[in-house]
Amino acid sequence: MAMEFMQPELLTLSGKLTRARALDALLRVGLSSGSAADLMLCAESVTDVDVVAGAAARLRICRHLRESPGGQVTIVPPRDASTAERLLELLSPLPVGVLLSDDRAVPDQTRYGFMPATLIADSEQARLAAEFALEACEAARVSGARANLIALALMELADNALIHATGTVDPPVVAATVAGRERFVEVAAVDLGEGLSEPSDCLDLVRQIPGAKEGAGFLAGLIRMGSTRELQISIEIISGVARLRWTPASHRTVRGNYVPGTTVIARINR
Amino acid sequence: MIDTRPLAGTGASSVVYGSAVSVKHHVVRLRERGTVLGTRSLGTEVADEIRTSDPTAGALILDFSGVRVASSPFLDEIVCAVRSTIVDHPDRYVVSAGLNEDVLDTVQLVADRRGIALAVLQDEKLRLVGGKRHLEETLAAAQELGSFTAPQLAERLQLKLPNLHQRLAQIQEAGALTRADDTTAERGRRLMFETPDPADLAKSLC
Repeated sequence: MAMEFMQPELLTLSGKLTRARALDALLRVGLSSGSAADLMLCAESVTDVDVVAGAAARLRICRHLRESPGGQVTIVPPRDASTAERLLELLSPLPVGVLLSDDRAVPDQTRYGFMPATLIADSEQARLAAEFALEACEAARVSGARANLIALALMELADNALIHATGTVDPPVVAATVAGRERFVEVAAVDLGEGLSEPSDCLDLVRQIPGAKEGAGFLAGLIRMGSTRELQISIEIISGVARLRWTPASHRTVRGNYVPGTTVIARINR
Repeated sequence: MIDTRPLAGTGASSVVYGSAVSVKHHVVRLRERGTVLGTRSLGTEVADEIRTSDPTAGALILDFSGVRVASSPFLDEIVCAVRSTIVDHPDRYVVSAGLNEDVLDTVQLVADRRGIALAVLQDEKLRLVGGKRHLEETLAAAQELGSFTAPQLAERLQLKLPNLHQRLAQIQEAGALTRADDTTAERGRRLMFETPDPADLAKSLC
């Protein structure tokens, strides 16, 4: 009997793979048919990646491997060397069932990453991720005050995602990396929960998150902590059609193209 | 004399310190749980330790020395346990100590959210986290007196007694004050209030 050959699912990525664009390209509902056992992430033409791209790619891989047990994911890395390094650092170590299209090695020492994109199944994993980030910050000679805030942000964002990401079986992913010519560290938590992103009043729900002055939640607290330490900390929330940009001085929500799930990014200056 | 002994039925991180001149302290060393404290379940474990701590100790000290980061779900459990143990044992000081700036800020965030004030030992002084500013001022004046009657403190702060009693009740609920009958009173019933000696508390820290 002849073996049946099934075409892999091909996901072609290009240009700047950052923020909402990365979420849209990697996690858009309906992209994954669930029928193909193999997925090819073709990132050859990608020219830039950020922390969200790494986390979203990890989540996409997780979703594919869950939907296609025993399947495989092949990544075609970006042609641009530094973009490829950034992406592969964020995905390192590659999970079982994930291969690179060429024979290059995944970077064993990180230049940009403080925390590779990591699935967080429970609060204990969130805590361990924070411990890992603290060690990475120390190795990168990030000051103690900043390192503590980075670790705290990572743990709180992960915990927050675990609590609020309802309606999804895939766990949230957290990651942390340098950004903005290495002047900032960005910490992100990406989840596919539907509680915030799917309601028709998503924009209003995000807009109603209290600002830094009156907010009793962790995100407001994090911005206040930054202010008292003279650190620049800003928060971005990307959920459904809502985009919230939040600094000590402003709290502005605008409408954007729909993306699935909720992504929270904390940006802390080094 | 320092008497150190683990308490029956509590975690290994609990130690009782006592001396001839100071009050006996029950110390919960958070560092022994890790430098990064997260998860509500770990918070529940420590909360149980707080709730079952030695009720005969004069002070319960939560020693955060060496803890770098603590998450708000973890601290939420601790803050609630502190409040309940103060209600159960109002004649005992309950003080958090050795907090770095980040842990202190997260405690503040959680305490504000819960509307709970907590006593914190910082720079060899007791202060309140999560409390209103006038309570801080009252506590500072109380610490200068150490042991006092309500009229003595009222005079110092130029406050009316009912007003002061309200503040003292809130400071006691934060764990920074105890009260007992004044046995030297010649007529009627008189209360003596007392704040702990910060230097004495600090001796029990890592």
